[in-house]
Amino acid sequence: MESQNAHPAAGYSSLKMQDAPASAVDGHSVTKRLQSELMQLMMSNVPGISAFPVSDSNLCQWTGTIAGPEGTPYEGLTYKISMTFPANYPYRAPVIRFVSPMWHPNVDMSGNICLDILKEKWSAIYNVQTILLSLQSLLGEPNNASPLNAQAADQWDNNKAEYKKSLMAHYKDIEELADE
Amino acid sequence: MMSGQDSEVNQDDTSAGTINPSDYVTEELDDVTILRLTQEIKDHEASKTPLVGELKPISVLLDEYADSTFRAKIKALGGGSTGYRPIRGDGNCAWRAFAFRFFEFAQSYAPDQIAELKSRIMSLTKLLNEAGYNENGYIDFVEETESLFDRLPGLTTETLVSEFNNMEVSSAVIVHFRLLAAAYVKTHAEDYMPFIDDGEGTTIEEYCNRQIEAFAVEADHLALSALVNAVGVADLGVVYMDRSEGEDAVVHTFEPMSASAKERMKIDLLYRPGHYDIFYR
Repeated sequence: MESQNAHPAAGYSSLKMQDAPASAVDGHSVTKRLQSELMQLMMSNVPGISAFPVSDSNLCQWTGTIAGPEGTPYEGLTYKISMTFPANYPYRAPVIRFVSPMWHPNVDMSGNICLDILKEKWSAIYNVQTILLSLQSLLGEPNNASPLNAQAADQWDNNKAEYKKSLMAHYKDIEELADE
Repeated sequence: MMSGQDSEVNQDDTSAGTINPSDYVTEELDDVTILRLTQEIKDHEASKTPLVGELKPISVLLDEYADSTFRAKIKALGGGSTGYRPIRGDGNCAWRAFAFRFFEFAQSYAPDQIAELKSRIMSLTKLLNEAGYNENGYIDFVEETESLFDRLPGLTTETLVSEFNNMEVSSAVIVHFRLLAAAYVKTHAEDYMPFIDDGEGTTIEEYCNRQIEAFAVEADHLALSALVNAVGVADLGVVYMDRSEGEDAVVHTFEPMSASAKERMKIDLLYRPGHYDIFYR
C-alpha cells in the first residue's frame, strides 16, 4: 500500500520533474480547485490509484500511480503518471502522460495517452479521481480502432501471450524509476 | 514462458525491445510547452473577439457578406431588430450567448424578481442530483452562478458584459447550464431517446457526455431544447441565417414544455452556420 494518498512523499522525493508553468492568470481559482480535489482524494482513498502534487510550492504539477486492474495483463503492476494542470483547469483538460514505460495500444513510447475524455470529450465535471479511474479501465479495455502503438494493438487482438511479454519487457518497477 | 510459437515470431519478438520510432509519435513536446502553445493560440483568438462583445447594429453584418441570399436576409432582419451582440466562437457560443442574455434580462428585473429567479435556478440543483451528478462535481459551478445572482442588482449591462468576459465567471455559468440541460435529458429519457437513437446504440449517457457535458462542444438542437426546458423561464428563438431559399431568415422557437413562469424572457440567438451570436429584436 506504499502508493496510497495517505503517504504522499514516500518514494517520490528524489524525482526530477519539469518546472510547471507559471500560472499567473486565474491562479487563485485553479489552486483552490486542486486543493479541494487533493482533499477529496485523500478522504476517499480509492484502492489502486493515488495522486498528489509534486511539491507544496506548485499545485499545478502532480504525480500519480495506477495499479493494473485485476484480470488484465497489467494485474500486479503499478504505473506512474505525471499530470500537468493548465491555469484554466477544469475548463481545459490536464496534460497527462505515463512516466513509467508503458506497452499499451493507446499510449506511445513517450507516454502520451490517446483518451477521448482528455481531448474532445473533456468536461469540467471530471477530476483527478475520474481521470485516474478512466486510465485504469483503459488498461484493460484498449481502443484498438485508432492505436498509437500499432504493434501492441495487434498483439492484444491476436496474441495475448506476446502482449504480456512485450509489456513485461518494457515494465519498470516504480522504485527503479525513482532511483533514476 | 517460451513456447514453440516464439521461434516463429522471433524477429517481431526482438523488435519489441527496440521500438521502431517511425511507428510512433516521436515529436517530443513537453507538457509545459504544450500548455504554453495552447494558451498562445487561445490568447490569439481572444485578441480578435471578446467572449461577449458590444451590441452592434445588424447592418454591421452586411460588411461581412457578399452573398446575395445572406444580404437579403440581413436586410430583412434589420427591419425588426435593434442589433446583435457577437459572441466568441470557441465551441461554447450558444451556451454563452444564452447565459449572457438570460442574465441581461434578469439584471433589468426588480430585486424581488431577481431573488425569485435565483431561487428557481438554485432549486434546479435537485435535478442535478436526480440525474446522478455528484455534488463535488458541480458545486463550484453552481456557487459561481449563485454569486453572480447576488451581484446582479448592483450591475449594469456594461458591468455584466465585463463579468461575462471574465473567463472564470463565464465558464462556470456555462458548465452549470450545460449540466442542467444534460440533467434534464437524463431525467426525461423517454422524451429524448427517440432523437438520440442513431441506430448505433448511443445511450443517453453517451449523448450527454459527448454533446452536452463536454466543454467547448457546440450546442445542437436537442441540447438547446433541453436547456430551455430545464431553465423553464425563457423562450428561445433561433434566427437561422443560412443559404436556404427565401428573403426572410427562418426562426425556430423553443418553448419550455412545462413553464413555471407566466411572463417568460424572450431570448433570441442569431445562427450562422457553425456559430451563434445574440440577436436583439
